[in-house]
Amino acid sequence: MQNFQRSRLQFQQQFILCFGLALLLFQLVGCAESVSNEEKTSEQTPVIPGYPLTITDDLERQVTFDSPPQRIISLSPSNTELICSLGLEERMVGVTTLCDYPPAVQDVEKVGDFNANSISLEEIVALKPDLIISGSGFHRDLVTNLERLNLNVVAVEPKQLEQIYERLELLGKICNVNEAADKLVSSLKERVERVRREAEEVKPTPPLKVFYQIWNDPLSSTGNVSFIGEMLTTIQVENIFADLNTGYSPINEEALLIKNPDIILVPMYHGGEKDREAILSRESWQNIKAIKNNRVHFLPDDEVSRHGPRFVDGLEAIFKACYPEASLE
Amino acid sequence: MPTSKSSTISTGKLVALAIGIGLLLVVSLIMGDVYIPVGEVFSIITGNGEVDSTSEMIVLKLRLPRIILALVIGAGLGAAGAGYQGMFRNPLADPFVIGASSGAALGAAIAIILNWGETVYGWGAIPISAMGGALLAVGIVYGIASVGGRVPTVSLLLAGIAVSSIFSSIVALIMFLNNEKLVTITSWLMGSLTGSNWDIVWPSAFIISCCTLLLWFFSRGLDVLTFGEESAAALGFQMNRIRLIVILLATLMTATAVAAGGIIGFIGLLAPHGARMLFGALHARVIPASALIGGGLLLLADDVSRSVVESGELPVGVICALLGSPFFLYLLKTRQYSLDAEAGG
Repeated sequence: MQNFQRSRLQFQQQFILCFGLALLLFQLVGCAESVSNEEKTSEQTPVIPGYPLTITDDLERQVTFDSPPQRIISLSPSNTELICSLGLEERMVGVTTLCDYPPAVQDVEKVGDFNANSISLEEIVALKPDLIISGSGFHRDLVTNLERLNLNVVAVEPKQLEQIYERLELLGKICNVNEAADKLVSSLKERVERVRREAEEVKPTPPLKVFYQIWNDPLSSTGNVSFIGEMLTTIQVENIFADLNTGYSPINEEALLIKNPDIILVPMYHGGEKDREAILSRESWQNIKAIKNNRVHFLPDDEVSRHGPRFVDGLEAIFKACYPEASLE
Repeated sequence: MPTSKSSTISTGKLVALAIGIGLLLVVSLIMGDVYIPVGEVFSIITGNGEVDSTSEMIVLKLRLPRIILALVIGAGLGAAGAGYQGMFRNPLADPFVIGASSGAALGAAIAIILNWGETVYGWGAIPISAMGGALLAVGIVYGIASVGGRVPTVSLLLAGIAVSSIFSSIVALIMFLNNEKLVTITSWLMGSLTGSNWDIVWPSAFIISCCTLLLWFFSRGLDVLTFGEESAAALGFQMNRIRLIVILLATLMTATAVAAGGIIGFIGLLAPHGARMLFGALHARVIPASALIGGGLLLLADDVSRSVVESGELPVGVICALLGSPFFLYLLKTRQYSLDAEAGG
């Protein structure tokens, strides 16, 4: 009996000892954990208001940022221009070979060209980006591939003028440069409004009929639901192919002759003077008013075709081409 | 029947082939847009030692799945080519020539356009749709080209070209009507292993290895088919059933390869010829050897496609066509006499 009690006592003592030890160990681990937690939070300081930030991109994807990205890769020239217009050139670590504006990005590492297949996933991974700005439709598969590599991708592809403002504001929010974005957007809006007001004053009745030649072979133009279409609407001329339902599409040359535009607008791609000669010497076009009156105007290429902040320069160039007598002060 | 001496030689060749592919694999792991030292690549693969997490990601998530996928797709196309050539009794049959690839392309294009991959059946939809298209195309080509159980080269080529054109133009029409997916379909039509990942590798490897194995079980039947069906009937083989099984297996492999890597031509033509040159005409050897050679060839072509252009790549399908077309023309030229003999008899 005594033996039993003694052994029971021993058991209790042992139990308490074990429990105590376990408790001690648990506390130690707990301490260690809390220490590591403290370390983690101290690494993240200073805490930036607004983060973590979750946004929705142009592929309807949700992307979350714990802090403003510091290493940015842009996969298209217009996105490079959008980012840099917010004063973020310093954060660019990768661009494409076609990104030539602003000049500062020419020294940035190149990860491929316009073709989604040419973009090197290896080089992107090696650059350790915390934000990759891609296009939407034509980069869809690329975005999936980048996601699989746990990279932060945001698809940005404005399809209307209004969306340029929204995307600038979005990028400003992501990169924590809201003020720069707001400032830029309001100055862009102001310039567009000035063009619109001036056009309102100088436009003839009926409005000028304009043919915008997107491409020469196949001969293509654009309807009103596109960047160019919106610009033409803004300066209040009549786009003779306004009803083309897709953004950019081939047109029938006979329709062009019948619609007989007053003005032909051509973005100056790489041809330059050759383009001019080719257009002016087209035999079938000699009866078009624009040709007879020498109203074929060439536009700066990147400004009118890139969906970036320089679209306003393009818009002003189109305005000046259509209303040479008017001025924007 | 092979003597023991010749089988030793074959084994030696097989080992040499395997070693060659092994070396190619190592080279492929080391080469890339980003330089990673050999020692580090080795540490990453074996899991020993300190490695940079970026390098690890590049090797394990970008290079390795791509290399394995190239081997798998190449093996599938090679084995499928061996199956088609044996079954059609024609050295020019390959998945590309006989329309299976275009058929698969149409099937896959439809699946891409209708978003089946994302919405309806999961990953299996594109290969299944590709399979359907491929079967349809091969069925039509076979139906048109076969004359009394034989498939003369001329009718096979003509029927193959015609059916491929029809299917390709439907694909072109689909692309025209679906501007949005144009880039996806185009890059896929040119054949590319960009963006390979383990999610694509595993199912493809599973289907292709199962089919190759099954095809290999039927190598005796294929031998009989190749030697002539008159004797086959006498030997009691159920030729139609074997023919159907071979077509199904080869087409399933082709469709899987097309769904995973796009249209990659001529591997299915080159590999079986190489296999026969090295190991003789018996299918028990031609099929595994074709798979090995096909895998090696596609891996080599993909390495070329990765290294030709600085920062970027050529479509691997283009490389294969550049490599393969001259060989195809060579075969056509040197087989002129047998073509005549075929037409006569």
